[in-house]
Amino acid sequence: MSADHTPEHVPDGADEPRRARGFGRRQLLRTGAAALGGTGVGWVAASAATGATGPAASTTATGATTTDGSAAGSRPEVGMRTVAFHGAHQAGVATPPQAYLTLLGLDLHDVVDREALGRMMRLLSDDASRLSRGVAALADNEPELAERPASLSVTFGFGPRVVREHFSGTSMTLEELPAFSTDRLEDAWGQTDVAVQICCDDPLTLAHCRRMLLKDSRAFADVRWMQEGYRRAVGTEAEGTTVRNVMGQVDGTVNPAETDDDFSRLIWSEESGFEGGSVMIVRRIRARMESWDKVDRAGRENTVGRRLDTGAPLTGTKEHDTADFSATDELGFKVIDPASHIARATARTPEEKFLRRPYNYTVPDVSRPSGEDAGLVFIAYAADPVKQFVPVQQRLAELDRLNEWITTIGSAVYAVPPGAADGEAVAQHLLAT
Amino acid sequence: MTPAHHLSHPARAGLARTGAAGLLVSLLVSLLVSLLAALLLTVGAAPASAHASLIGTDPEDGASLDALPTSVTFEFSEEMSDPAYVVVTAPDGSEVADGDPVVSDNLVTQALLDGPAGAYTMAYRVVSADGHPVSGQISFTVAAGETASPSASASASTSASASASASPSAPATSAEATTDGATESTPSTEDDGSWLSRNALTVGVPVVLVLLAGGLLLLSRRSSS
Amino acid sequence: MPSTTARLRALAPLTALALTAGVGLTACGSDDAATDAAGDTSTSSTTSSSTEASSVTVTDPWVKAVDAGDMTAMFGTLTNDGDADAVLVSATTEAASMVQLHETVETDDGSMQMQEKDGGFDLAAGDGHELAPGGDHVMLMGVSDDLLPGDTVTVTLTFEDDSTLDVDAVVKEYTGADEEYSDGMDEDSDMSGTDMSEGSDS
Repeated sequence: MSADHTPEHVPDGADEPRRARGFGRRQLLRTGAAALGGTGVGWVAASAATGATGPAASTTATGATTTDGSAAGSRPEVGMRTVAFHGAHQAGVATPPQAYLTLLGLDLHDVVDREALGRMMRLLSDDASRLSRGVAALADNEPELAERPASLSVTFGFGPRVVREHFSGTSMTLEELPAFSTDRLEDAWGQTDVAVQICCDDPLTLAHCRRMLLKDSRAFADVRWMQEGYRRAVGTEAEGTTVRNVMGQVDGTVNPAETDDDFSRLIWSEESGFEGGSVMIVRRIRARMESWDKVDRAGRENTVGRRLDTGAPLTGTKEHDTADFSATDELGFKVIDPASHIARATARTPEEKFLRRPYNYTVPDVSRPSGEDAGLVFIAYAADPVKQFVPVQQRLAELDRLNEWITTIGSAVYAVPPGAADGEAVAQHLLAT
Repeated sequence: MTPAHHLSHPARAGLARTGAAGLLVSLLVSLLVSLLAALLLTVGAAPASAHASLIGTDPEDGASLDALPTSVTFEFSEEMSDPAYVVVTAPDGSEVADGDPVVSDNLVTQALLDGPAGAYTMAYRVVSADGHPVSGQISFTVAAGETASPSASASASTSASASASASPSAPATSAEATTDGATESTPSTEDDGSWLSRNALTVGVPVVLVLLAGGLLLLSRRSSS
Repeated sequence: MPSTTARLRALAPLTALALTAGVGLTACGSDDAATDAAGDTSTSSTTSSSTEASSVTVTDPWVKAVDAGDMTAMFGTLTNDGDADAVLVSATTEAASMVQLHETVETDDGSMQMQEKDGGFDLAAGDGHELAPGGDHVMLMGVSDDLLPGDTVTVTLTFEDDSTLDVDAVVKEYTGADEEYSDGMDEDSDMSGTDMSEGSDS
């Protein structure tokens, strides 16, 4: 459980979620999993359910889905999990990553001003709010597809142009990421005005949500790109297991946990108007799988600095052992190659930490010998990417053995407003006219 | 079932055409081919063909030099990626590498500081283009009293300490260095002979076998036609 | 709002109401009903509590986005929580010059056609009545200004006892419901879109 849900996700002034949360905590104690702590509604219950399965073990969506009249006991637990859309923070940031991702990059039409953007956000927030609860969106032509929220979360971010031209009442400034020497950026994956991160444990629910959001945004914006990604399907591994990337490596071990003292400082913005918001960094990283195939295990482990099997640093035995970058072998050489990925990526100051929330991608590409284009939709969150992310990426661009096999082809950054209160839309206060 | 029967026909027809004499020849050929394959497999397991390996150094392993060179070079069987790491240790245990090694294709060159006479080790850790790490070390000795002479005072002070500890034990150190020369892969340290002369057996035998097999194949063709 | 428990769900034959109803819902679903994102539900009675309007709620009201001059419709779910039957007899809005209550009927040739509903919509006590594309709806004709997605349109519903209910409906783009319009109605291209054509643009 690297990044759990905060209780703040529970909307203020809503009695029902409180009941659900209290219930979840009781479950938690019963199953002796109290150490998990600090989790939000759906996830608490979900954790509990793994130990105590039963009709009451699963926190479900609202009773809104009238077609679901089946006995409670037959309700699939994963499908009925919910992540609160409303709250102090937007969902999908500290939320433990769901299995599937679609990241939408939208460009606003030229005529869209702040008033129109406000209307768009009302519609999209309403859709997200309903679908996150397992409730059909307004004017939903496929309401049945909304009935299994499966931990759906929708996260909205806004590019530098929107922050500059449309937002008011905030000290948030946002610059595009600098060019890094190893980047080979393709326009098709570039900076857009708006990003919508949709994550879900079920691909059909996700697709339905995506479609609703696209239908309700098309009066305002065009889709520039759509980045789909995946992690492990739910139930494949114990929850909280660090994901592996398509190159086979355990990826994201050093992520700050929501329980860490500095998590809030590192991830949540304190800029006025953005308190509880964050900044989303998006990098599309292509892996050259054909040549990676030629690298043997010793080469792969040396390249990254971690063991492939356990994910332990080459100086340790367990995944979360702290890497010892000064340890030397009998010839006097560093055990962890100073040019390895972890040696270069590791934080050198307390500032250089951020929350990684990456997804693998694989898309057909018959022009390649492998028949596919694969890599990582690298998504990260930081309160200030200039201080926290850029120095690390600069260092990796200068030197990282992994660069031989990876290339960043897309790069963008988005200001992520705080979560919306009940009945409100994301960014509503920033777009007030 | 039927397709399988159909498929077997051409094979039988081929055998019939070859005849008894031809059969004997083909058996011999296949025997030889098997032998050849086995031999090639054995050769393939040798360190030289596994990954990038050290194919030469300057100075050579075990060399006795009149003076410490200003740089040392490692030559590998394939291109190396940057950065590479080199540690050159003087007889007194001090590190005499000057700055970072320079990687140029399959050569890794390390500039040296001054050092005393005695037994030196030079260790390397490199990463080949396919990401594989290779490391090991070789040794050489620098004769006493004739160290490079950039500064008289420096060489005087260093040679004094060197003659006391390193000089007498130089041969022993050298031997030890060669035995534990490699950690991850055995460096095939260069001796005086050319590559062909050293590999006469591994190269020559297969070549002869291939020729032999080819000849027999030709013979079998003629006898069957 | 994130969720309710499984037990709550089992409790609720009223789940349809709990969905998003704006006001006055008691029992289990009331918290869920409180509010959604902006523009969702807003109903207010303009008369005293004994009227038809006071016992009727409209959940999820929305209006299809159209340009000025075109016609559109309001949809949503009417629910009569009162003890007495109610009848919705007419509606008005500043956004359109004429408002009618419509039903959709199948014609002899099998196509669906809209026509004015004689006598309005009956809302029996305790019952719900859905207004949906392809079914009954509140028709707005002669729209005065462009109805832009995300806007809110206030429609005033009048019941048989002359009590009225203001409904704030959110404007949404919608390209479903390819019903024919009966004679005399202007048929614009927006209204004739089919589900299939919608699929191609998202």
